[in-house]
Amino acid sequence: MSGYFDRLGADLRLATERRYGPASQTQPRLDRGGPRRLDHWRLGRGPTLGLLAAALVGGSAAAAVIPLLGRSHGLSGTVPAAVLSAPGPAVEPPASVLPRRLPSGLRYAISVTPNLEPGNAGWCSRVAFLLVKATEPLPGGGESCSPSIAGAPVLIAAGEPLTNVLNVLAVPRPHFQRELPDARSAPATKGQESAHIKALLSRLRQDMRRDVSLSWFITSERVWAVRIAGRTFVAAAGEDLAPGWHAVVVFTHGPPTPFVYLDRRGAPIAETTPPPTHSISVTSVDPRHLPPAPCALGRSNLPDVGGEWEVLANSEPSLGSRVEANALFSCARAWYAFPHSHAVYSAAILLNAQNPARRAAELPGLTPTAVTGDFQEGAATNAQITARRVANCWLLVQGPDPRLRERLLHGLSVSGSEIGR
Amino acid sequence: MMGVRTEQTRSDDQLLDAASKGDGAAFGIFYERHLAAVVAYVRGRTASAEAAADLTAEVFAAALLACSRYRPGEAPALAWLLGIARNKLRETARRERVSANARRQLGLWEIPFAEDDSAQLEALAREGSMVLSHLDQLPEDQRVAVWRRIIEEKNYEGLAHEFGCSQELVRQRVSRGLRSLRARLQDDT
Repeated sequence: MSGYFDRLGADLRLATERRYGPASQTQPRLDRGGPRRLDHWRLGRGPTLGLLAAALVGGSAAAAVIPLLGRSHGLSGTVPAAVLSAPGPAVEPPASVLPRRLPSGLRYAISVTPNLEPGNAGWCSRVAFLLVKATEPLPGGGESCSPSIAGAPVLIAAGEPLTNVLNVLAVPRPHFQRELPDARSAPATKGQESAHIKALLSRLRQDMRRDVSLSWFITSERVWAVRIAGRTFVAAAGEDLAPGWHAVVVFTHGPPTPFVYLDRRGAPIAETTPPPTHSISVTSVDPRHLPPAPCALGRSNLPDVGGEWEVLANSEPSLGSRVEANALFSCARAWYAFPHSHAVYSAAILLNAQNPARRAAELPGLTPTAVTGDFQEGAATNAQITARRVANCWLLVQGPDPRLRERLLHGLSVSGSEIGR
Repeated sequence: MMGVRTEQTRSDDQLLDAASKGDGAAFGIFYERHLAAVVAYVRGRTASAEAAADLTAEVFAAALLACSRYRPGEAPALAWLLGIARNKLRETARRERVSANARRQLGLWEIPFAEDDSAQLEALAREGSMVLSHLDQLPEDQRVAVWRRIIEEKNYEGLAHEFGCSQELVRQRVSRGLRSLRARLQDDT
């Protein structure tokens, strides 16, 4: 078994037998022997309220939840040493085979951006993990999105097991290998390098606890604090957040349940029924043949940049007071590829969600760039965004390289019935 | 090198049915039969060979997860597979990374992509382009109708509006195109 596709074929044959063969009748379908990234939990507004209800009436899960530190952290920073070495409760499989520590120097960065999926008005939040001295985040990291709902106490609640990082490190790609600890002593030949990486990963596995998680809550002014497993974490404002928003960032063993949002008097904020979501239907189009639409991007005027495809909202939003005053509606999004770049870049048009004819609200956490009129996210957040105002809307580009983002931003034009109305 | 056609007697529909009953060899044949076409499809839409390989693996894993729900119909299984590939491409663009959801569900290890694999991938892409060219050889009205209906999963009502004709005529074009495509693909295998 040598090549990639030979091995893939062999793996698929075995997976077929595991999943559908006789053995699958008596075993869980998920193969517990393979490597996997634990799913991060997505506590969007609906599930959040569901969990809140469970927290108020139950609490049986509390035994497995231990906040590791007594204060909230910033939206970006280094994973604290106390988290790296904290002992945890016994979980399956037996504690004796569990990793106990995370790689030292692991950094995290949480970003909050508008939901760029066309047809939606809401917010997304993502965590990126970076190794020491690395400039590029590790792939993966959790993302959670929620619709904007006027008056709601919580915008986003999300969490990510830190052990997901381990599975990313298990992929032997050169630019990760350089960033691994002890890489300076990495051997030169391919075979030795593979063995070296294997040894490093084995050590990391032994050192890392499986159940340590980073959880975060982005709240409105209504929320003074979040109580998690009996401990209170005060929500704090931040320069990467919109005015009036606050955040609680905590490290826990396991998901942060039970939790309760507290108002300024320290009283629990009562559960409310979330209103129906308000997404608008969309159409996928070829960027070379754009139909009439509220907004559209089309092809870039950069000769080397290919437009892959584009998704357009079929109508403009008329959400009025149902959404927050600073809510932005994603009206169009298109994807682009630069030559010799692995990365995918996308651009989006964002309108004022309450009333598209009005000027779109400020984007949270953006600071001016060297180019007049252009903005990008704060250095620590890793949202990978550059944006500029065009008439009543924001034109926004997302992708890893700020220089390419800037190029694309100025290589695009916007059109549509809702632009400059 | 892949592409060794070990068993040509079973149709795709039979292979998928057998796979859904735990026949790993059947899914292996299905994989070998359509690997080149899937590689060709995703290679032309991804920025790197490594991403194309990653995406191909995810497409076949998703197909394996879905094969128990596959129902033979008018469209050839390759069209079903390319529909999965298209959805995965869109998901990749949305998430800005190749998802590993299907592989995770199956407990599949991520396979390292070596330099040597690039050459194999490009060879497969060339081979697959010839398979996909069957679609290009259909009359224009049938080709567009098949692509929009089967791969892009547009509904007949929308297509009738888009083409400025009746739904019945769109159905007719799709049906004729699929019959022709199925015959061409069967000639190949």
